[in-house]
Amino acid sequence: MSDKPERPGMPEGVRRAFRLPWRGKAQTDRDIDDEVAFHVEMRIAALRASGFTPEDARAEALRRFGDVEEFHDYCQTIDAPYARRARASRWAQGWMQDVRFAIRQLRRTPAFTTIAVLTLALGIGANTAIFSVVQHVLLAPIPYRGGDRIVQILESIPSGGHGFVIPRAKLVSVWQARAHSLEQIVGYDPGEATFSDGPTLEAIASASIAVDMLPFLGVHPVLGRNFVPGDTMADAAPVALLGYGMWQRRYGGSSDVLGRLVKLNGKSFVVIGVMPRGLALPFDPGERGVWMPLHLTTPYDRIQVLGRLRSGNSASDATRELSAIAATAPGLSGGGKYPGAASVFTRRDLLGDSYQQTLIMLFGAVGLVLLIACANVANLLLVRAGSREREFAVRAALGAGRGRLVRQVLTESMLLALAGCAVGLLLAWRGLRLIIALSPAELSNLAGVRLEPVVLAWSLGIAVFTGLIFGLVPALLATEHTIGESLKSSTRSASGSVRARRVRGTLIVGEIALSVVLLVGAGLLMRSFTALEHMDPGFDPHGLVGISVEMPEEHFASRLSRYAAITQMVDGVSKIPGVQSITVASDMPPNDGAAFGDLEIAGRTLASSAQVSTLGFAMGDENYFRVIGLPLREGRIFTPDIPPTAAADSAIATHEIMINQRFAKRFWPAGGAVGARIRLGDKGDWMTIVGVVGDAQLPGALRVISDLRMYVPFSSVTFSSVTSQAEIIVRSAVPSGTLTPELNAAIMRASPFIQVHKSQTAESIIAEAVAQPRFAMTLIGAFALLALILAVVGLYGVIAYSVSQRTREIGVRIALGAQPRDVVTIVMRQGFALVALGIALGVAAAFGATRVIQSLLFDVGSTDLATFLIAGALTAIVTSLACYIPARRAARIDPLVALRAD
Amino acid sequence: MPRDVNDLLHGTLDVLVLKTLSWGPMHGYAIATWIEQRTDGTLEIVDAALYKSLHRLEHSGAVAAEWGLSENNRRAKYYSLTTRGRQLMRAETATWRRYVVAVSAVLETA
Repeated sequence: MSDKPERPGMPEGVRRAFRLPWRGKAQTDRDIDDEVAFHVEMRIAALRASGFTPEDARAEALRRFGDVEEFHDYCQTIDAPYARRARASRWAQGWMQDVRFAIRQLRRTPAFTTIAVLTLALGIGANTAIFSVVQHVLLAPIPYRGGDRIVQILESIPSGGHGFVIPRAKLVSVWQARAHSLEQIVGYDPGEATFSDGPTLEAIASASIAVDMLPFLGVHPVLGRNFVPGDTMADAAPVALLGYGMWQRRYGGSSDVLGRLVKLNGKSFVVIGVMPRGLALPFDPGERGVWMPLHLTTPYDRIQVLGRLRSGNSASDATRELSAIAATAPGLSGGGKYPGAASVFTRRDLLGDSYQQTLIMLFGAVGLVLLIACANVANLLLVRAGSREREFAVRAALGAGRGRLVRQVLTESMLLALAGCAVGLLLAWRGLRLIIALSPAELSNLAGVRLEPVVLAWSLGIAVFTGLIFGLVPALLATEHTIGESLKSSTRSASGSVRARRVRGTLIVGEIALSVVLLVGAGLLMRSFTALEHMDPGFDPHGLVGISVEMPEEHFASRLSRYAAITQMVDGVSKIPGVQSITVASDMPPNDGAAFGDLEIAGRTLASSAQVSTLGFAMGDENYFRVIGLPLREGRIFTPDIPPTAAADSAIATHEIMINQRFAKRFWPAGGAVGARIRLGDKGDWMTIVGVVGDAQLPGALRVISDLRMYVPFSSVTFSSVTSQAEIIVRSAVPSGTLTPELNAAIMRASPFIQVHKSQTAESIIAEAVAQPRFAMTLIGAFALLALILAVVGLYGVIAYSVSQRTREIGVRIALGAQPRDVVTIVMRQGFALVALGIALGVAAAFGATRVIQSLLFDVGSTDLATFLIAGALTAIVTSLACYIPARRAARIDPLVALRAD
Repeated sequence: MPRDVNDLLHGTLDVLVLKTLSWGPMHGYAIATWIEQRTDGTLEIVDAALYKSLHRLEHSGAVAAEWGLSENNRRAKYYSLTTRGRQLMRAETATWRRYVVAVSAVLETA
């Protein structure tokens, strides 16, 4: 169908899909004009030959021709599509040429290309990794039904502390019935369990969830069925749903796991289904092995609560409504003993300010690292472009516009950027794995961080952006000279291109300054973390292991039965080899609970400003302080309540308590706390303070219930509602991994009805408290180090290049008698100028910048002199080394070789 | 009447141009004069229309164009018939003949 008409003058490579050799609109117009002119001339000649006068002939010829304008327009219309295609093809061709050329150029200098790509990969990779984390934690929506409206509900402690407690189940039911600002409210209780299906025991994460939790989230089991209300009845057969990971791991994803009997904490459960893959509670993420239906046993059971806001309602609307409901709920509010206010938290609220700030700080830090990387690559490109000045000048002389040359250089830098992006993504992927592995369990919401499409798009975006940034400057600089200038000057002139040199110097100064800022930041965080880590917890956490147990009311109805069970547990545990001492308490130190009620001190009226309604609260038996190592400061240890006997089911209360030092100092600054009497609320019992102990504290704890703490005997009647739960705390030299299963076993032997919840060590609690600062410090430290390395490499490059530029000059000096020492001095002086300026700028910038992280710092000011000095000194030393090596090499230049070569 | 005849469809002008070029490569003016002579002046084609036709034919590949020198050493664009153009000419001519036969058949009934 298509033939090939002979086309003279058709440019090479132009596709033969269209007929006209499109040579531009202007050219085509000229052709048409020429053709018309020729025709008209011929016509005039013919007319004149038949007798017309010249003017008449012309008029007639033009008339005969017709509308020339219209003809032009017609041709344009016909040509339009061809014109467009021709233009596009030419443009694409030009671009393909640029790319091919750029690739060739880059391949010819593999060292340069490798270094540039690696530098960019580090910068882009770090950015991608951190953005990935930020996106997952802060930006990505919760992947469940109405995810952005899912909130967590807690009861808040009104005045005195900033603590929150898990709401009471009874209150939750009232909220479920009466709340309008929330579409749905569901409860759950995360925990741990010992799983066994066969001889071995496995400690796994578990959760009890309300029957409507799965519908709330909008998911269904992939196998089997969800819980039904019948499963939560007291006499129902125990059922459980397996976690997806557990199902795959242990049972190979086989469907005959349905109906299987497994043991949780020694109790048999029937597996009725499997959860969907990746299911995690929105605010308590982490994979769980089993899920059980939520049983609400005693009236004051507390459960974690999730809600979904109704569209149009905000968290504060819900807070107000739930608080109002709580305040008027019959039997649940007031009485001075229990809080009545509610707080509704979105995911962002729960992350905590410091976590968000940490992430933002990390984000800023990698941004700085990327800038440094760009500056380095820009420097490299400048050097390269400098040596190609002649080539560019010649091309310019041959007709390439400046725009075209700039485009050529930009193509190269874009290719470098894209290559850097590709390698960077690889680095980010591996780096993320590392970050997740290093991240503390507390930040387990990092577990799901992946390279999502959003992150990939971001990565590509910054790659393009950085390509433009570091490509533009060298591109503009390299093409600014005309052919005359550049051919005249020798490429090895001492001045080189003055502009280029100044730009390079500026870039290095900037890099050094940014590195200093990062180093200072890292240093501050390091000092802060060290202070945190060495903070005295007030007690001795080493070797303290605790297991929380529960004695459900249905089997332990009387205080006597509970007391007997505890005695048996303690007895059994004491027989375990390696156990040095045992105590029974309400919680593992330094965690504690809360006691509520307006504080009253006998014989005193407290000013309203000194009012306290919440106290930190812990219960322990008489060995408690000795076992955990909390020193007694004044007075004596309380006498435990007289235990119940068969005859008298209630213990006889002694009403003796102990308080911590802060409490004593606050209200009895001159002493005399011992012997004082206090009570909480006007309906509470009066209690006598018999002793004062030291302060136990959690380093870096953000949600402290109160500084003031009171200790009550474990079996105390006054606070009897909590004695269905207990923490068995053991001090032992045996590592907790070995000890815990033995403790579990001993406890379960004491009574089969005791439920074992989780086990923890005091050391792990403390470690977790500093987990976040440690994590931040590690990452920032790594980035600061990376920045310093990049800056130093950049500096080395600049100095080395400058030396190579000045080879002739140096050769002359040596020939004229300069000593190696003198040469070194000359070179180092150049370097020092840059370093000094960089450090000075960096320190100045750091002064302002570190104010941003002040809230993350513990016990150290943002302008801590020592840190600044050390950061500055470190930078100075390392950069000096970077200058010294090329200086040494310069000193060894052979003047003969230097002068001969040009 | 020349005016009526000049309202012929594009296609007719195209086939006239093609036929003219089958005699050999010519420039636009020569084509115009050739057609005028062959029709003894009956067809006075508007030159602009002729050139439009040539432009179209060039785009569709029926004719090839080349710049050359005319008899009086002027730069002129010469058109020549391509293989495709030849085929097109034969097809259009056949169509025209059928058209003429059909119209005549109607008009010449008594």
